[in-house]
Order: sequence, then structure tokens, then C-alpha cells
Amino acid sequence: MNQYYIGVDVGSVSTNIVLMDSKDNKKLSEALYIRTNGQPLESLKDGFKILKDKGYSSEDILGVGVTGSARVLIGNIIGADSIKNEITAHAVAAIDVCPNVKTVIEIGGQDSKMIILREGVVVDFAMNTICAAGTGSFLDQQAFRLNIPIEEFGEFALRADEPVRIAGRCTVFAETDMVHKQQEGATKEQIVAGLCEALARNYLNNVAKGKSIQEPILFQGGVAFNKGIKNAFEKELGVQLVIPEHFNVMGALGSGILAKEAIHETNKPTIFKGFDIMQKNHRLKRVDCRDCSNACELTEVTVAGEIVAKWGDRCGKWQK
Amino acid sequence: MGNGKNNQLLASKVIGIPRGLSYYLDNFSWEAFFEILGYRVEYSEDSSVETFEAGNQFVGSDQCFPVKVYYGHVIALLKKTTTIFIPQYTSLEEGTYCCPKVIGLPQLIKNTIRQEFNLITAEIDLGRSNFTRFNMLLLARQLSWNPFRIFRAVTYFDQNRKGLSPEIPAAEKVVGDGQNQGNNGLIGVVGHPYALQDPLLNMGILNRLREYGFDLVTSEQYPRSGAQTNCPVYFNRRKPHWDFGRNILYAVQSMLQDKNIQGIIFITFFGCGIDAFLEEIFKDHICDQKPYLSLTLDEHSGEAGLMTRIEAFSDMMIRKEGKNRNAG
Amino acid sequence: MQVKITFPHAGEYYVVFKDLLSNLGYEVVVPPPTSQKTLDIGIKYSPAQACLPFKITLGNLIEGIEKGANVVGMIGGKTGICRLAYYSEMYQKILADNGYQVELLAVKVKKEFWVNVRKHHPTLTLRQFMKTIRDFWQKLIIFELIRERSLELRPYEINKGDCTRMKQRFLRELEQTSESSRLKALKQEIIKGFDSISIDTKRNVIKLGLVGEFFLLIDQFSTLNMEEFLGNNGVFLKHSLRFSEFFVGSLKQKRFLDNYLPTHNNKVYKLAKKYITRPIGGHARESIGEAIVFKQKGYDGVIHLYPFSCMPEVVAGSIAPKVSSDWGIPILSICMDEHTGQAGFQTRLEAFTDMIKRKKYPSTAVDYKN
Repeated sequence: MNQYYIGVDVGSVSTNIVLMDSKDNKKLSEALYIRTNGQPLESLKDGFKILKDKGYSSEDILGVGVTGSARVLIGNIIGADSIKNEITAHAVAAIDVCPNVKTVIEIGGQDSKMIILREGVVVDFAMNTICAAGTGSFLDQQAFRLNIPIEEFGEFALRADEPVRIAGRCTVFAETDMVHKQQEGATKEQIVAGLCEALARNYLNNVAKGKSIQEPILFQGGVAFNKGIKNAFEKELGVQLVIPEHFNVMGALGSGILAKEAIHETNKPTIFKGFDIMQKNHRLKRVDCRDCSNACELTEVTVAGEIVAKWGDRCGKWQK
Repeated sequence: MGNGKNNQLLASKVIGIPRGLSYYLDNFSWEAFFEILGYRVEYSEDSSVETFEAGNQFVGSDQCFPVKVYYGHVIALLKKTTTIFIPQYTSLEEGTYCCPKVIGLPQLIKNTIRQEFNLITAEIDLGRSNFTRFNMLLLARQLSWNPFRIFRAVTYFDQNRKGLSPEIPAAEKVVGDGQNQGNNGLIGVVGHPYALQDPLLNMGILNRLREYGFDLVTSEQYPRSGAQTNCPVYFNRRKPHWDFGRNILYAVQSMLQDKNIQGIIFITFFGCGIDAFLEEIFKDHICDQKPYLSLTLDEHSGEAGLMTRIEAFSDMMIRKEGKNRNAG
Repeated sequence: MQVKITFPHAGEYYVVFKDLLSNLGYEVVVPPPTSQKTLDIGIKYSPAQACLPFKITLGNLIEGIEKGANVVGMIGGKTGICRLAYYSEMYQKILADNGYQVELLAVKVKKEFWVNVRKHHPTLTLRQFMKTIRDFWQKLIIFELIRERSLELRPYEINKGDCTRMKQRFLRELEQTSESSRLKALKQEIIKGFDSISIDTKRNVIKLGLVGEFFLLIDQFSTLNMEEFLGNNGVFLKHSLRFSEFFVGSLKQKRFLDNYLPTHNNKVYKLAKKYITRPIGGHARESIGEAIVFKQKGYDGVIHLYPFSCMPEVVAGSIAPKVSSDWGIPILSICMDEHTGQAGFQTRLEAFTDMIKRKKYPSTAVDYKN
């Protein structure tokens, strides 16, 4: 009988769920990639339904870890053993895949990160703070404008002989520039390649500024699928990028590993509430805490009429 | 004792001076100063997009555009020489300060550019002449063992420094009726000196305005401070404690009084703390009286958008002028 | 005309300042606690590129004035390099433009303060004035004691929320206490009260120092309740600068001492000398120096906070990576403005503490590989 750890990454663009074998971190029984569409609860509900339909039983789950921007909400509802930020999750997964990794480039839907590691320990990190120009959403929007399916974006870029230079600080200016370049006779391929280079440049100028980028470099996140971007990075940096096997679910993988860690550390059974919890009725409510003069506004979650979690307090007493 | 102990420097005999920020703050000839001490000065080339991009990787993203370009100048110079002179201007007259970024500039550059280089600097506070003279002496002693040269250099600084007096005689510089006006009229352009002098920083606005047939008066042609005029100085506010803050407020005030100046353009940079406050003080006053255009620039400013605004501004001015003429 | 005074919030320090002003004979109008509304008001009236502290304090003042105040008190004089020295002019200009006719009173340890207060209250004697200042000082010290104890103990507390409740209880008591004789007893009570909190000293706690722009260090609103968030995440937090130190920092005598005698600040300046040679405004030099002092005291990391477009701290922020690599202490520089979202901000803080924790207590990172 196999037992598993679940890792969940609830991001703004996609919700990823992995089922990790309890004996071997590298063996993923399932890796789901579901669009969030602004509704993390719904997407997770779908995900859990798929897992249940495939015959996995809640009893075989040894632990659950959650990461991503909706981690507190989801973690409290499903009963997660570890609720951690995306940077730690990605770093942990990267170390697991490649123990001597020194740099992680992670480009997701709405944020991008760089993590610097030495001897398996994070020593520095950075996140995009300003805008979307260094993230997947940027490509998504441009692909839509050019009427190219995002999946083929990379192929298009590789076909270009000479990319054009596109000023891509933000999506609005990039569009102006794209129109301008088309007027000058640039082909679609050249523009796509130019956009890939613009993204790489933006990333290196904003997120990676002042960081010492050393090999081996792991490139993960949904954007790693795009070969055009990989090429652009390799051209700018002059080194090879490694794309891990499960590049698009690395955050989820990391949170699965963190759950395993948490379970081993505390030696307590998981507090996971089972796949069915998502099928029940959820209600979110704002309530005021009157315990002290801070008067924090709490978020209260009721599942099937029962209060399962409260958070949003400054003192932390409602959080588990 | 100060006999040219900076060996590294003696070997090269070339000192690089980046042309940005503090370079524009005064009209003192560092070239002549270092020549007395036996060194050749190499200035960086005019700013260009390449200059900016070469330096951009070292600069924190929340620095302002002029600082980012300054890095580029330093990087460009480091290809030619290993010695860079960055004067640490702290004040140009008593009771004022330069921008904090200018004050911290030498150490900022030294501690953020990874390439090893030899930084020479001296704190220059023109409000405290003895202190500054002493600093110049220390600087000169680093560079030469020859007491005569040191003496001459310091004396040279002392004498020419007087030329930096903030009180530029009003009659000499300030534009009056005699000014030759262009076809379309006279525009006052206000900003920090580097914004007015470096075409990369101001995106060639000054030249473009001349092409449109305007004559320009810049805030540099006004004194940094002064009470000669009988108008309320500094918009009835307390004197700002920044050198060029005073200059800008004074210039705007005088431009408003000057009937020949038909419109005012203020050039500032995104993230400039001083200008954010200054503009708040004079904005309403100008808008009531004259066409006013405020341009907040940075490395991302698109030229197309900029030109649209300048054209709109000049149209506005010409139309207003025409109206006045018809009415009169 | 009745003189009603209001003043900007700075964290919970209103407790102390309210007392100072009312003891001087003013009727005090405490503005409503800083909220999103305060910030919105501040943003509406401030220049777009003014710094966050300016926007928040302006919002406070306007809210206070609307409650009926006709005098505003503010910290910060007319000297210095950064924009703080010009705040008063900007307040006056903006308030007047928007139809608020008020007078400005600079609260500081200078003769000028006494002269101005005397104008409002001609009967006040110098003796009374000095006594009020002394009481204020005593209160300020006690306030800081409460604040520091709560920060030190929070990561260890067993019942979450104990420290916060204890802090608030004592702040309320402090607010109600005005006799100086009672203050001494209160101080003892506070020490005892905090000692009675049950703690777990075996936890994996990391020590972080906090440096940067002064207002952000003390204001909980603009840093999105960072203190509590970090405390609950197992961080022992220490500020580089106390309000009391800030308050006397502008004194000429103090600066003279710091330049020539081996005071704490003197040490800080010496350590910072390689990076920033002279004051460049704000607390940029202190930020750099204190970060190194934290390293020497054995702290695990430093958080450097500064508002967007703050000229001095931007320089410090740029130099921070160099300090970090020279001295081997992780420094997280965060630039705050009104657009800083809580989620992204907390993710960065959490990732930073995780990074340090995993380095300091590696056992948690190795265990799972079985």
C-alpha cells in the first residue's frame, strides 16, 4: 500500500497539486495543473475531485503542505501540516532535485523570483516588486495580442533569425512598441523573439539586479516551458540553464517536502481533513475580534456549519 | 608626510572625472587644478543610451535617473583609467545642502561598483571655507610631493572658488527686455543644472524647443538666492535648505515677474524628493499666471509621448499669445 | 480663542505626547488612529512623490483638524538635510490651500519650544514647564520599556497574544497615569507583568535588527503590523533607534558628544565611515552603522526599511548589499510605499526569516531525507 504527501501551490494563475510518494520525493504519482481563474477554492475542489475519482483515499495521505498566495485560506480549510511561502517552497524543491544548485530562476504567472543558494542553504533572494513585465502574465497578454497560442510561443521565438529589440518595461508600452516595430517590417517571429528577450532583460534588470548568478541554474515555473525564454536567458547570461522535470509544479513539490519535514519533526499524525472537505459548503465571513483594543478584523471560515478556522489577527492567537 | 603617497595613482597620472551630477554643480575647472599637480584629466564622453545601459546593472532600481546615468559615466571611464575623482559636494553656500544623493555620491559609487578602482575625493563645503581649504590640501598632498605645486593648487582652488559665489549679479545674467526673442516667444526652463545641460537626461527637450522657434531662459541664469528683487522671494515660504531648491524657487519667482517669459517648463526626475516638494509650492502660482508644463522623466520615458506634450504646450502658448494680441 | 492642539500619530506614541501637551495646558485633540482613510486623505493632498511618512502624518493632521483642532504640533525642526526639515512649510502650504487655517508648533528640545508654548499660555512658569518635560521624559522611557519587552518576549510566548494584551493593558495604564510618583511603581509593575508571561525558551528563535527610516520603525500602520507578524513567526526583533534617542538627536550638544566621545553613536559612525563618511540626512549613516553593530552583537540578520523616494535611505539601501557581503550578515532592504501589498510584503519577510532559520537550525532542513 502506497502512502503519499500532498503538496498544493495555490497561485493567482494556476493551482498545482502533487501527490508525492512517501518513500521517494522524486516519484510523483500525480501532478495536476489547474487554472485558478480567480477562484482558489473552486480550483482546489476540482483538483481534489480528480484525485478522489482516481481512487486515492484520504487515509493514505501522511501530510499536506500548502504554499502560494492563497496559502492561509486553503491551508486552514483543508488542514495543512505546513503553510509556507513560495520562496522557501521553491528553494526546497530545487535543492531536492539538484542538491548543489546555486541559483534558481522562477517565473510564474504574476510574480518572478530569484533564489541564491550556497551548499543547500538559501543565502539571498529577490522578488519582482514593481510590475508584471518580468512575469508570465506579460507573455500571456502579448501572445493574446499577437493571436498566437501561448503553448506555441516558444516555437515561434526559435524560428526567428534576428530578434527585434522591444522596450518592454510594462505591457502597455510593449504594445506601443510592438505596433511600431511591425510598421518597420518586423515579422511575427522576430517580435515574439524580441518579447522573450525583453522579458529576460526585465527580469535580470529588476529581480536579479546585483545578485551573483552562478551555475548550476535551475529554471522553473510555468514560463520555463517556453524555449524562447530559456534561449534568451542563456544568451544574456552566457551559461546553460537546467530545466527540472517537474518545472511547472516545483512550488507544490516543495510544499509537499515541507509537509514531510513538518510531520517528521513533530511526530504527530497529519491534521488533513480529507478530500471530501472541499466538496462541502464553505462560507467566509468577516468578524471583529473584541479581545483587545487592536480590534482586528478576522476572517472566519465555516465548513458545513462548523467554524474551522479564523485568521487575520495581529497577535496570532486564533491561528493554530 | 603627504609626499605623493598614492603610488597607484602616480603610476597612471590620469584622473577620470565623470560628467554627471556634481560635474554640473559649479564651474570650477578641475582640469586646471589637477594639471598644476601634474595630472591629466580625462572626462567621460557625452551621455548616451549606451552609457546608461553600461551602468544600469549596478544601480539600485529605486535610484533616480541622473544617478543611474552617473554610474554609466564611471563605468565608461574605468575602461580608460583606474582613478576616478568624485568631489563630495555637501554645500554650495552657507546654510544649505546639496541633495543627499550627491553628498553620498563618492561612497555610493565606491561601494556599489564591483570593479576595483582608486577613488579620490574631497569634501567640499563652500559655506565653510577653512574646512574646504584643508580638505583640498589633503587632496593635493595625496597627489604630489612637491610643496610648491600643492601650494599653487590650493591657491588656485581658493581664488577660483570665489567665482562660485551664489550671488550672480542680477543685471549681468537675468534676462531683461533686451533679450533677442525667437519667433514664437520666450520660455523659461527650470530644473537642476544636470537636467538642463545633459541632453540624455532632458531627452533633448531644450534643442527641440529651439527647433520649434522658442528662445529659452534657464534657471541656471538666475542666482541661487538673492534679495535684490522687491518681489516676495520663495513664494513667501521659508528658504529651502537645498542649494538648487533655492535656485529653482527663485528662478520661478523671477520668471513669473518677467513679462517677456510666456511659459514655464519644469524638468524633474521620477523619485526626486526635493523637486516633489518644490513643485507643490510653485505649481498653483504658475498655473494661475502662465502656461506651465511639468515633465517628470526617467529612463522609461518614451520620446513620442514627450513630444506630444511639448507640442501641445507650445500650441497652447501660441494660441494664448494670439488671443492676447487680438484682444489688445 | 481656545487653543486646541493636534499632532500626527507615530505608532502608539500618542499616549506620551498627549500627556505632554495637556500638562502644558493645551486642550488636546488626538486624531483617530491611522487607518486606510487617513492614508487616502494624505495621498489626496500630498505631492505624488512625497514620502510615506509625510502622507500619513498629513492625513493625521487633517483628521485632527476636522475634529476641531486649531494648532498642530509636530516633531522635526528646521535643520537637517532631508525633507523632514521642510515638512513644516509643506504642511502650512497644503493646509492653507485647502482652507485649514492652523498654527504650527514645533515640539522639540529647544528654547524655541518654550517660547512658543509661552505665547499660548502666558501664565506658565519655567519651573512648571521643566517639570512637564521631565515627566514626559520619564513616561517616554517607560513607554519604550513596554514596547521593547513585548518585542523581546513575543516569539517565546506560549499563549499567543499574551504579549499584545499585556502591552495594551500597560499602555492604557500609562495613559491614565500622570503623577510622577505613580510612574515609578508602574515601571515595577510592568517589569513584573512581563516576567509573568509564560514562555518557551527552547524554541528556534532568530534575532533580527531593524534599521532604516525612523517613522517606519515606529509606525505599525505603514509597516502593515510587521512587529506582530514577525514576533509570531519566531523573530526576536530589536529597533536600532528609540524615540527618546531620536528626540535628543537634534541637540547640538549631543551631536558634539557623538562626534568626539566614545558614545554608542560614535561607534556607529566609525563603523559606517567606510560606507558613508558624513551625515547625508535622515538616518542613512546610522542605518549602515547599526546594521554592523547588530552583526557584532550576534544578531542573525537585519531588516532595512525605507519609504519610496527617501533620498538618504535610498543611498543606504544601495550600499546595504556591500555591507552585507563585507560583514556576512543578511540584510533585507524593503522600500515601502502606499502601494505595498500586505501579501507580497509578508511573503518577503517570511522568506527572509525562513532563510535565516534554515541556516541557523539546519536540523529541520536535513531530517526529511529518510
